[in-house]
Amino acid sequence: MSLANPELDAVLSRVSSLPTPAKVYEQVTAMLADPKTAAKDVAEVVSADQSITARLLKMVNSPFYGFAEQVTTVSRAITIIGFEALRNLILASSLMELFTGGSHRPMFSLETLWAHSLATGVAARAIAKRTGHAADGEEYLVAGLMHDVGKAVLLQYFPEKVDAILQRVLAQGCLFSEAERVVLGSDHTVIGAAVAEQWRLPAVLRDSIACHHTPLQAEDPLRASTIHLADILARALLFGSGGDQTMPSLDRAGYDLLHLNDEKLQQIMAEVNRGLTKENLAILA
Amino acid sequence: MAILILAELKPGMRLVRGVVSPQGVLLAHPGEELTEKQIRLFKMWGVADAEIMDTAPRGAEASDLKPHTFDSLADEIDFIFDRELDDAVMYRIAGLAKDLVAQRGRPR
Repeated sequence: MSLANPELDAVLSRVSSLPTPAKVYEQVTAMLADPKTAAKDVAEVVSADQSITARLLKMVNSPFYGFAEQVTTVSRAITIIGFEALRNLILASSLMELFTGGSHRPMFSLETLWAHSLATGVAARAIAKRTGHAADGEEYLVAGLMHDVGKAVLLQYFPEKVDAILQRVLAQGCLFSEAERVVLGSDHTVIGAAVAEQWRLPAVLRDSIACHHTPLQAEDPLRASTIHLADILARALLFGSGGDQTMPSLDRAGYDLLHLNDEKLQQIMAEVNRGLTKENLAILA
Repeated sequence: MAILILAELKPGMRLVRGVVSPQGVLLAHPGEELTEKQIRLFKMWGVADAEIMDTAPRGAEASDLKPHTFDSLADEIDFIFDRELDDAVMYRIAGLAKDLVAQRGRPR
């Protein structure tokens, strides 16, 4: 698109100067590229960042993982969940560190957004597992957690734009993304994809952030359709809020790619509903 | 006057220009007042937007606008699914969600 859009340019310019995720994420990513890397070396690097370590252990010990024993060290966490899951959790942890507080708007704040994002992640993981597309679904948990990162940028850095968007959402009863397109000439999927670029996140993650409302346009439509449905299920079960009170339309072709039957849909929704208790949502605190 | 996307169109709004489908079929005339049925028709024909008169929420400021509140979680689910219930899968998801939240309450 070549049309001038100063509103979007201002947001994207802010994205280009966003703080990067915790340094430890880049360090671990670099270490994992080397097949000779030992678990204890990774544990040492991660443990040096106390706030990330604390959040990481909180997540690993949450009922989402359901380990019988208490995990108290990073090296033990690596043994149990593996390098890749650890890296994903570091990314999710550092993201939550970056976007905290912010302003509270009617029905919308970083708190409600993270609750919605976590629910989307849990739903995405449940879908991936039940459809057999991913054995542990860990990547899907993170993809769900990050799908609305573009909205987090708006909440943190552009509260006045959020106000204009919410005004439209409430007056017209439309989706947040529809109001974004009127106010910004673009939406959070574009902003989120720019964040993913800026942070050099894996291409699959950028793809599902960019296409969670238009899964068939994704390079990996199956993965994007998983996040698309997960977003709808999180909304349906009333976990958190993405800043509106309506539903995006279901992309039926994307949904069909998942080959879900009614029984699986029921199981997935029940699993998400069970998993998202007050106690579990406390990992967001 | 403003161009509104399909989801923002409401019954009672008045069209500035006629609405033509991507296939070139005239679906509504300039000056016409929109009805619920016409908006559904636009959706079926794949109309993306329409230009309408006087779209600003009259006198509404952000602070005046409050989210909808609901008597029950089931009412909230019905409300948020309102425009998607024609889709059989969405209808099923709404039904399942109502059963599940009834057992659970709100976890926020």
